[in-house]
Amino acid sequence: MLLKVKNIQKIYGPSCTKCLHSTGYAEGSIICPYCQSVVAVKNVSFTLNKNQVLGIVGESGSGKSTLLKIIYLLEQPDQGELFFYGTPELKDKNLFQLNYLEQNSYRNIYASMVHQKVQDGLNFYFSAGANVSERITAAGNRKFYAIQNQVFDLLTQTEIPVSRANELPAKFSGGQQQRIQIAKALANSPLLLLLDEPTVGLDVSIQARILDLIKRLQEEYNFSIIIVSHDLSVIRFLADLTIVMKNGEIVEKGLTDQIIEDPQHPYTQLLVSSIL
Amino acid sequence: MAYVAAKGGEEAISASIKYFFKFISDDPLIFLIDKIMSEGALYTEELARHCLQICGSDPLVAGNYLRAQRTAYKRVGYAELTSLEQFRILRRISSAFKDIPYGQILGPTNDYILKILNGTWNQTIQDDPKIKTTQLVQVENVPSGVEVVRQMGLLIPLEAKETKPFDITRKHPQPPYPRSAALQIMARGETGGMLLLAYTSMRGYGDVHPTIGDLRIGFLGVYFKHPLTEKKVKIGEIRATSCEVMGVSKTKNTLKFTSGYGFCFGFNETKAISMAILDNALNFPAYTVGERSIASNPEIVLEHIDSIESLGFCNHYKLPHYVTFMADLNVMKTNPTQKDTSNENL
Amino acid sequence: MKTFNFGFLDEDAKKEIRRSILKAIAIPGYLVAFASREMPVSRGWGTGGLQITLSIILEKDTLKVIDQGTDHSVNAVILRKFIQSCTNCKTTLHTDEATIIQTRHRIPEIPTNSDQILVFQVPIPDVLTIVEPSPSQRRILHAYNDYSKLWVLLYEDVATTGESRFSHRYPVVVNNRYVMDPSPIPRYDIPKLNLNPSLLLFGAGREKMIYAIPPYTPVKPLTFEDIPFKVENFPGQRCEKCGASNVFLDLVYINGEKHYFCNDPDFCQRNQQCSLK
Repeated sequence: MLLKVKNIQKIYGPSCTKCLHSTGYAEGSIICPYCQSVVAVKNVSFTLNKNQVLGIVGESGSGKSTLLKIIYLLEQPDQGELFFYGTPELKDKNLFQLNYLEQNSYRNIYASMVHQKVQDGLNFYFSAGANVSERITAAGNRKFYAIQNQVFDLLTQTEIPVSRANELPAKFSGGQQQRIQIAKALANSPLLLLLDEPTVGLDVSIQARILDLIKRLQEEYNFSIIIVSHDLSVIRFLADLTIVMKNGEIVEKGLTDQIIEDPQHPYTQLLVSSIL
Repeated sequence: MAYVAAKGGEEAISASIKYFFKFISDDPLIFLIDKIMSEGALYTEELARHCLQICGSDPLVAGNYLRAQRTAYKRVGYAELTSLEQFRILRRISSAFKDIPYGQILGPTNDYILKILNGTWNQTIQDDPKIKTTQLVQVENVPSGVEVVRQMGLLIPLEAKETKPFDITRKHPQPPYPRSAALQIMARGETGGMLLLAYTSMRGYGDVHPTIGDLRIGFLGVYFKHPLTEKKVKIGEIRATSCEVMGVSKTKNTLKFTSGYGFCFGFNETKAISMAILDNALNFPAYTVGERSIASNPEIVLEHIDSIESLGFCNHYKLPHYVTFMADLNVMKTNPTQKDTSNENL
Repeated sequence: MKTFNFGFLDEDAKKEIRRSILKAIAIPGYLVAFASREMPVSRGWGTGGLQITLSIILEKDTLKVIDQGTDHSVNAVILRKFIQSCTNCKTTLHTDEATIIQTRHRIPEIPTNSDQILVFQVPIPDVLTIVEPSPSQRRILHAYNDYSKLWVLLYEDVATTGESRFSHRYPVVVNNRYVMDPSPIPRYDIPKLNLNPSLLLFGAGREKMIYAIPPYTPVKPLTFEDIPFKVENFPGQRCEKCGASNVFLDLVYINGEKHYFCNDPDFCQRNQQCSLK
């Protein structure tokens, strides 16, 4: 096992005693009618093994992006625990209670994230190469040529020409910017890669290229992935396991193939029936 | 052409201090008058003094009087083009070099005066008979201290995109602001406001340490084309301040110097330096902190530094507003509590 | 008119400054906030260095004040006169005679010893200002030894231009812990900080911070291990007065021609005396 997610809960707003049983799938809403709080994530638990790809599918408002940010320690949940077994130094520690340095270590070395909006993942005032180098130097590397070689290697793997490493991100296309993000996310050989709607807003052909790239890299390096998408066909292409979320809750989880061939939950059935 | 050759810092400083005291004893209100003329955008010492008297020496209100007065005058034309080399210099320094052609001319300045209220401290210098200030420096045709750097090819040149200068009093400038419009807005800007914005740049929200290549105060002749003879005629002289600063930026992956220019009526070094820093920031946004830079944003800088506008609007809140307030009261009484439907965090 | 206290500042102010200095020495390179007073020179003109000097100086001290390396620069002249007038200390133009040397932007060429104190005037005390404008954020980064933003800057510079953008204020690592701003001294002076026998005190009056490097502290410039730290050089140039070529030189234009002289006049004078013998 690589990751254990236990009873994650996140409420935005004052919250009250009635929040949890007045929101969710059955209630058809994530907003508590008594105190107007937003119950973004309600009691989510799952586990992930090494070399496994998990897809989280849901529409906007389902809680999937919030959940991903919580797993990457960009936000703190109200309740819940998170355990990571990829390295002895973090074993048996609830990641939400780590100190600043340990959290940085997790975010810079053992896990990485590709953001939905490229501006959240790249600094547009620094070159593509410098953006990729950020993770490498954050891990303590201090030899310039070794860092640069790694940067070039990562860019090559994500099909960005090394000759353009010194250019600013704004000079690249949307698809290329996303690939620079991926190159950065691969630095330090993370064990867990988190992808938040990595192909949203891109042309269909570019989407396909990026998904192919991710699949290839996963097969080569065997890191685990959690990929969030509203598009079930993206999940089907990449994920071994799938979790379906609606209104902050998990409504179904299981092997991707099974879920698509034989969806149990009415919401999942709706999603599956709408795949082209 | 004679100039003070400063032999050793101490002599020059003592002369400068003594010069300053004589300077201000001739006119104790000089810097206030200069501030008013500059912000009022009308060069007239007589009227500026009169404005001060009738408003209790409030510089912002006095500036307002001058601007209104300006409206009452007919425009007869534009002055002939001039340059900073045309200054008859009273004081000129360059922080970038230890010594430059024509030297560091300290002139009258309070920079070297200790701000102690102990009367005896500065009195000794004022009364020292050994220090002579009879040789008043008035050098002309002195090139900018930045020329040296230009000749080294280390300064990023600004492209001259306009063929004639914009006139902000005849046409209201809209973004993207032409540079001449930006400079005009700043030349009449309020000193304190411009200092504030330039300070944000100095403290980390911008290019943190520009160098003054040339700062000068002095007299600038105003020339006009005679309507009949069509010859250039000198119609008067103004006191003015000019400042060129240099920052650092990257172009095509090479580090180079950038420049910024400040100019205003009267002697006002703080304003000219602030203006030069703002001009620099507007043309060359800081290349490290990016969008957090405040002074690089023309919509912040150019829309908020006119003291007449901001003074007026700030004080207009004192006018009766009870009709608008009644409308507010009504909205609060009658509107039901709005539901919070935001779920943008998901 | 009132005559001033010894050292101009009142005793409580001096006490607070001394305590801040002691704390700074105990944590080399760490920024200690202090209640900086306004002084008769303007902010930005050395009020920090001035407050430190006035808090540590005694009547028996010998003071040297330099700016841009020279005692005759405007800033140095005013400060030296002022400090002497309110402390009755001795003053000197010679580095080896001084017990306290207050300086702006340079370290003297002649090395100082463990009986001497250098007081640096600092405009911007925090080296992280260039990458993080918010002071509260910077405190967190310093506390957790998180200088990753600086490393990205260094990588960007070396990868794109071959060289770091820092000319003066080159970041240094003090005692293998804090990354510190050495004040706007040129790169040339950075090596002098390492294991320096003198006590080095840094005062930023406007920004209200004091920091220190105690004697014999390891201080290294922040660089990649495989990129050598380059200092300014003046290839083929010598001081026209004393002939030295291994010192920091001033470029002066006289009648449109370029001339080079020693930046440090005390060193130059000594060198001339040596060569005359």
